[in-house]
Amino acid sequence: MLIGQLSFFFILLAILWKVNRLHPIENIACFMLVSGINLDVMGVASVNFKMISFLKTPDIFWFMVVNITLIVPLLNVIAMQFYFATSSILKKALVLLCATLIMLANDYLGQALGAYQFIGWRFSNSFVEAVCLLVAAIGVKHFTALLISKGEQST
Amino acid sequence: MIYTLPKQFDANEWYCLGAILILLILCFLLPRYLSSVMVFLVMLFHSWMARTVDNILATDYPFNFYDTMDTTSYDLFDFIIWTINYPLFGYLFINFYDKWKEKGFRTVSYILVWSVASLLLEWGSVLVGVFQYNNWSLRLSFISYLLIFTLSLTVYWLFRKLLKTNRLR
Repeated sequence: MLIGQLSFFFILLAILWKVNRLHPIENIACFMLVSGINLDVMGVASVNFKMISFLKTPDIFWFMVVNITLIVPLLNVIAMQFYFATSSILKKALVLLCATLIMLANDYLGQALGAYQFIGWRFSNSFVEAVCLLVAAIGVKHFTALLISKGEQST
Repeated sequence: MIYTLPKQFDANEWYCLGAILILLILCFLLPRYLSSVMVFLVMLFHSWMARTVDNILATDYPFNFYDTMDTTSYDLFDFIIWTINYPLFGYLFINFYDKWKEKGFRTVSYILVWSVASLLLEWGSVLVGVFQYNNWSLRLSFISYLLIFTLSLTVYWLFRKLLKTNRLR
């Protein structure tokens, strides 16, 4: 399962390489922020609220680490490439909807594979989390672009 | 409250708040040598790294090397340390490296000095109960700091190169 997850990660990296249109620093900032938020959310949900139960095996542990810190942030970064590729509000909304659905599918796939079990965690929790991660990614992209342009202007 | 509140607001919480105060004073009083975007990136990187490392090493499975603050769950002060303390400390580390632009052996010395300083701070943290070691020791912390600061400098150089060679699209 871990090997499959890592393979998926490298496939996503290849996709990002192909579709990339943002500044690499914007991509890295999006990645780090989304990864951090996702870690906090999943940690609080599983440890503090016991809404998600993980199977305690080394394979599953690393599967979760890769999923939370690498896969989900990378999905967000790829979504940002498409989001900022268009100025049409409708197309942007469509990108966000597709990205949300893909992240939801990722959540439920993990459960289907037996990596974890949703105890009190609901579809609505996954949906809200996915939307919040996308909004955070959009926000940090704009903020980073602003800082980079200030730096470029001063040089 | 999504984060667990401290069982008792005592020495370890005051230590964290005192550290934040000192770090903020240092950050605002000392000159800044980094650009705004680099400050943001460096702080974001250290926040991300702290979260990732603590979530791997300090959760109850599989390693559980140490616990932080009052509980084994996600404490409010865990969030504060990850979001404020570590980023500010990382900023100071990179800021003065950028000023002195150490090369070669001086870089090694710089990493060593900061690792020793971090170790002393961690020793104080352990004494007041910020960290509780399970299967961990200060020796392991020292090795970790050497790796973390080396990684930090590597990432800083990567950020510098990316900012220099790419323009906004």
